[in-house]
Amino acid sequence: MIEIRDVSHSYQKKKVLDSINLVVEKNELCALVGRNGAGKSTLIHLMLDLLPLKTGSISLNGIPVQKKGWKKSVSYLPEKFQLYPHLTGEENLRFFASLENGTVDEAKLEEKLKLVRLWEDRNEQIKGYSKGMLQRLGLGIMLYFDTELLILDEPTSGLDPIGRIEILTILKSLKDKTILLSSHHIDEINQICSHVAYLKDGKMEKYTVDDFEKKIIKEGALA
Amino acid sequence: MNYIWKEWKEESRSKGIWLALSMVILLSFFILLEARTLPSEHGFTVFLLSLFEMNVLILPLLSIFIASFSIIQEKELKTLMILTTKQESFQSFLFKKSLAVQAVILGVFVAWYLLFAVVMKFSFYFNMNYFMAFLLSVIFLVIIFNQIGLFLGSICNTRMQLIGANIFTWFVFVFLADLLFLYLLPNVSYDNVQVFSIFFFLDPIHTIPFYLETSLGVISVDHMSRLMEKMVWASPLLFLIIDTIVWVALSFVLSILLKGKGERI
Repeated sequence: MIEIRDVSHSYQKKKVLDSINLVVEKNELCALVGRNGAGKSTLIHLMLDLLPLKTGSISLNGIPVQKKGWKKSVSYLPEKFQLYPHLTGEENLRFFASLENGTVDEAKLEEKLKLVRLWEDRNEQIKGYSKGMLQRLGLGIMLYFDTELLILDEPTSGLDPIGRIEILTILKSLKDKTILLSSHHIDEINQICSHVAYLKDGKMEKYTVDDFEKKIIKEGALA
Repeated sequence: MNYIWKEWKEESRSKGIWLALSMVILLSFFILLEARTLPSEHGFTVFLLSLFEMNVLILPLLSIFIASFSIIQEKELKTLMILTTKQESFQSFLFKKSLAVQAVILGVFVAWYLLFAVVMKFSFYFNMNYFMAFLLSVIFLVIIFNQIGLFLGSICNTRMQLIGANIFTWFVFVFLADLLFLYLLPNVSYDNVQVFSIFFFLDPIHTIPFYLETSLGVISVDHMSRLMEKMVWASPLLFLIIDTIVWVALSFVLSILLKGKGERI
């Protein structure tokens, strides 16, 4: 569960986020939508303590982000990540998997590589991976951590239609996960999300996907 | 340990470290060819000093570049973001990354010099103590400049910025600092020599060769004038240890304090 209360943020004098409130319930799939520069990435960075929170409060699964402990229940996949190009797919996953206690669950590693359909390509250095394969590997790493909350920053950005379908299929197959997904694609939001958090002019409103389509798309706000 | 494993695979497969090593190997052999004509009783000493003189120019640059690029790559690939939102804080990341970078770069250069010692043994009257002093000098030089490289990688945001910062830092240590000390030298007296000494020996480019030259018996710290006794107020090894601790600690702390404007990573 994500709870954001009265969060504001400015870059120099420009206010990007103005008293933002948002609650994403447990097991909800919520899309974070807004134009380029609307403040989506800023909000995500504030949620993950990558930017210092100056006003308001954010808690992830009941733990304020300023306190220790929230990282255990959250996984984050940044936009346009690349991972370690000279390691193989398996080595990349193995490195991140070993972060918590130094050991790797071999069965889980195999399961996640198969889930993201990279088992056959696991021994290739990822500098040879396509964008879609890289994105799937990132997702595999996130899923290895088995956290309840997933925050994904434009996971289908730059992918071809088949690559997007592959990512969406994996996301749809997930059970008991709360997902906040930043996206520009209305069709993929329709396919997998139940709610939309819409950022415009520093303010946020939350809709069901149906209401979002009716109220926002018809107004041409995303055009 | 997983950081060291990862760093080794990344560095060894990306070939950058092998290019750096090939420069050191070429340099070593050319100096060896030159030094073989020297008289046998002093040949080894002169060879080690010549080799180190070249290392003082090239190793800081190689260490700074390899270490700093290793950090900026973590930023560019966004792996730093993934790591700091999972298990690591920036401090714990930097600590583990520092250990990994130090282990890999030191491992490669030390392994080369241990291998090269076999060649030295067949070419000169080999003195183990002299060789160990040389190796220790190389190790301290690499440790200090690796950590400075990690600092530069932490505070720069782009590769172009980093290249400029790396070359400027190397220039400051290798050339500018000497010019500055030369400029200050006429004002040094018995009263202020100790203050001058602190700054002089904080420069690893002065301290490490001083340690090596005293260890090789080229410079003696016995029977010094009162002025020199005040200047050299500790043993060369102690100067070296203090220097390393200061630069490593300072680089580490500054990396954390200056890592970005407003950003936590």
